Amino acid sequence: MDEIPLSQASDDGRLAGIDVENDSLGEAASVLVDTSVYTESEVFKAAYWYTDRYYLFLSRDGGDRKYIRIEIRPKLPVELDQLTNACREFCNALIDYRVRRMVLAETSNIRDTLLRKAFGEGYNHLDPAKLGSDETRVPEGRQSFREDALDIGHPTGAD
Amino acid sequence: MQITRTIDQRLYPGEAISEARHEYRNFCTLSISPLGSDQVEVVITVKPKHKARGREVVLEFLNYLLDRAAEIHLEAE
Repeated sequence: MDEIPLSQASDDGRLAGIDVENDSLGEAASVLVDTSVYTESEVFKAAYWYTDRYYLFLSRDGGDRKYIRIEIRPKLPVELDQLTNACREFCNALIDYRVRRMVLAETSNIRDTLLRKAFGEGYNHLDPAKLGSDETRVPEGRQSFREDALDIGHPTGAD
Repeated sequence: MQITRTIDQRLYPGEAISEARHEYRNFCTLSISPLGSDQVEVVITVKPKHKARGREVVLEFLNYLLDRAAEIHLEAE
């Protein structure tokens, strides 16, 4: 079978990188995913969310088995267009998971810092005596928000 | 109905195949033979009782296998 990575695919009767075949299990559409672009993890995450609507099967392809072929079959009878669209949507889902991974890698330091700070503050208040909140400014029974004891209604930036 | 699939064990770990085989033991039987490094040939035979739903049995089996493989891969991360 010829290898046509999605990035180099063209409209040559193979529906722009999508192969369609009909076998004893019915119609199937498939795409090749280059594992140097998308990780196995991203492929599995995307595939996992498709199994409620489609039947999927993954196989290695290419001489050095660097591609993963994603075979998609409908659970219910659908038009060929819908099946090929499912392949295109799958490719979009791969991009989505790829971007998520990149953003996660770029922001992991900030996330770790925030978590460290959140849990670190908790560590400073392990003494139950220090856990009580400051109740000195809580309105008493006879006070209402209309009195605005804390002057919250005072416009800022006007002075 | 009988379907033959070449399964890459880097994608579908042996553990996932064993679990899927056990889970679908009432619907189909599996015959597994090695095909060189990391690959096995799996022949899925639907039991006569479920012959009328052969396609569904085979494809549901493969989806279950994929779900288990995905869980195993993502747990290992």
